[in-house]
This record gives sequence, C-alpha cells and structure tokens, in this order.
Amino acid sequence: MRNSREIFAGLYDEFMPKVYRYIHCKVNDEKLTEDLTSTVFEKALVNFASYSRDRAAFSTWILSIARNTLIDHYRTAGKRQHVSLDEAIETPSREPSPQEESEKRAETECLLKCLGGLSEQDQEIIGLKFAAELNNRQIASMLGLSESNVGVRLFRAVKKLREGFEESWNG
Amino acid sequence: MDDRSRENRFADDVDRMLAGGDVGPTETRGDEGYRSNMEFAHKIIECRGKPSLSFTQALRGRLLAKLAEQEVATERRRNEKMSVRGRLLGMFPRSPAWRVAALTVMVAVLALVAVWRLGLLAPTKGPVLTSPGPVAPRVAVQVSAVADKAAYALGENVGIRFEFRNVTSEPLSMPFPPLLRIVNANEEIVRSFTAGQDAKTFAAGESLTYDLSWNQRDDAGNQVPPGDYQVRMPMVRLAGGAVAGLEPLALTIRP
Repeated sequence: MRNSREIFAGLYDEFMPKVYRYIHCKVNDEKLTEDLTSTVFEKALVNFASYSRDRAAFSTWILSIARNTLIDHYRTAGKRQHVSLDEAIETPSREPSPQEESEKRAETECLLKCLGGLSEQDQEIIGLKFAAELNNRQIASMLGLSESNVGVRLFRAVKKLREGFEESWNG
Repeated sequence: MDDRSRENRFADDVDRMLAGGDVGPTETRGDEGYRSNMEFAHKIIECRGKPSLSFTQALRGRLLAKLAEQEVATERRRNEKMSVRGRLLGMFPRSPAWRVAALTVMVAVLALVAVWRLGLLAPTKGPVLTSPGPVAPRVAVQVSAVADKAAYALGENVGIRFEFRNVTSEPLSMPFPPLLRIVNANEEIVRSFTAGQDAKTFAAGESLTYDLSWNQRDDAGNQVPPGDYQVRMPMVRLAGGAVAGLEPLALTIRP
C-alpha cells in the first residue's frame, strides 16, 4: 500500500505543471508563477490529511486552491497590471537567443496579453481548459455553469482570442 | 451540424489534443472557422508556460521534506496521548487475573473511603459540646463614600463625601472625622488624614456627612503619580463591640 508521501509525490508530478501553467497564463511572470505555485502546493500539503476524494477530484481541489491563491495575490498586490499590446510586442528579450526562440517568446507574450484583454470568465475557461487541462464537466462545476455552456463559451473565447491575436501580431 | 453541437465538439477535440491525440483534417468539421480555431488551439498549447526542471525538483524535495516533518509531528502527538494511557495501564500487571485482582482491590479501597467520608462507619455518640467560633462584630455605623468623579486629571482636586449613619436604636459615639487613608495600587499608604480629637455622638438613626478634599499630595507634600488609588477607613471599634466600617472607594488619577 502506498504511503502518503508516495501518493502526494504522484499527485505533485501530475498536477504541478498544470497549476504552473494556469498561474503563468494569469500573471505572465516566471518568478511570480513559481512563488504562487509553491504557495498553492504548500497549502495543499497542510490540508492534505483532510482532503477527501469523496468531496472533490484532486484536480478540482488543487485548482480551487490555485484560484483562491491568485485572488489573494491580486488583493494584496493591487489591481492586475494591464500592459498594452504594443508594449508587449516591442518588449525585447534580455538574453540573446536563437531567432526562433525569440519569436516564440514574443508570440507567447502577445498571446498572454491578448488573453488578458478577454472577459474574466473567458480567461478562466481558457486557463482551466488549456493550462489546467480540466474537462468541461470539471470547469462547469468550478464556474457554476452547465457543461454545454462551457463548450459554447470555450469555442467563442478561443475565436475572440484568435482574432485579437491575429490583429495585434500582424499589425 | 448546428452551431451548438459544433462548439461542444470543439471542446472534445481540444481534450483529445491535450491528451496527445491527433486531430486530423477529417475531424475539423470542414468549416474554416472551426479549422482556424483548432489550429489556434494548437498554438495555445505550444505557447503554454513550462516549469523549469530545477524549480520542479526543488519544490518537490521541499514539499516531501515538509510532509515527512508533519508525519513525525503527528506521530509524536499520537505517542504522547498513548503514553499517558500506557503509563496508567502499566501500573497494572499484564496478566488478566492480576488485573482483575488489582481492580477489585482498587474498587474496595474506594468504597471504604466513601463509606468513611459519609460517616457510616463511625459509632454513634452523644451530643458533642463545642464552643462557638468567633462572631462577626455588629456594624453600628454604616459608612459610605462617594467621590465627585471616578477619574481625575493630574493635580486636580479630589472631593469625597462620606456619610456616617447610626443604624442602631441607641445613640453612639465615635471619633469624628475618623482616620482616613489613601492607598496606592501597591497597598502603600500615600496619605493619611488623622482622626479628629473629639468624639461625635450620633443619635439613633442619625446621619452625618463629612467632606474630604485631597490635593493629590502625599504625606511628604509631593504630587502622587498617576494610577489607581483607594480611599480607606480603618475599622473603628465602638462601645459594646460594634464597629464602623467602610468599603474601599476606588478612584483613578490620569496622566
């Protein structure tokens, strides 16, 4: 029988990248993402003994902690910083890197900034689907929507994001 | 396919893409909008942030170390609870027969103690004569005191009115005014107001008032520091064993 350390390690290995990605798409800052990810898992560890699979799947549980951690962060750090798309695209990379990496990084920056321009709910749906890899049922339960509604909103949010990205990337 | 089912199908295709499955052209439903969305979904997945290996490993190590500490602390707490129980049980021999015997002896001893305490064992005796204990003195003069304020500024004059009432049915005589004292929070006497030289006679039921004015100076003439004080009147013994007493009056001097 696996002990609690093995169980926690397995869950960490599976879900840490998802939590990291989810937070990263919200804050777009590597150092801050690492700090907040650490906070999320430290909170999960403290409450791990009381976590029960009967109440929620681990994915939903850990993502709820991540969302609440982000809310706390926004509350203490003030409002979210909105960077204009022009600033985002023109921000040069500090380190020399191959051209493809530089372009990829710029593309990512632009994508994240365009994501920040969507409504809160659209950002949540995209973050929970693409970063946290939750299915529609899990997203629906976290956001208080129907499963079908999540599917519709996801398609439309991706369409809006795509159009915004194309507009800003192609100038 | 209507819009709604197309949009819901999109989520399924994205889930498949996230799981590493291939979403080929035949599954893009033929329309340009859907295909563009699927291509963009692929781009979103490629642009996702990724934790560095060093961060991943460092955090993992830290968390597992903390989990180990938590488990040790939990085990220690459990053992502490058990040790009390263990110590109690350790007082008894392990063999069941011995435990029953020890338990029986314990119960018998407890029963004997209970019986003895209830006096059921003592032989019956005749009445026992004992002398009465000391009787509280009779209060003949009730004394009350009221200050003009509960708290005073430093240096402000403190005014206290005392009322002395003869609660007996006979006239009484007592030194007037009686000895009065101001005591600080450390029970030190800071100021004494000496008793009057002459005695005053109170008719039965009569009340007399006395106004004391204190300038917040101690017996040496110095301003007392801010704090809590009490006005006290040492008990005065009257004729026939009666007394006059005062409940201490509290007052505060603010800084």
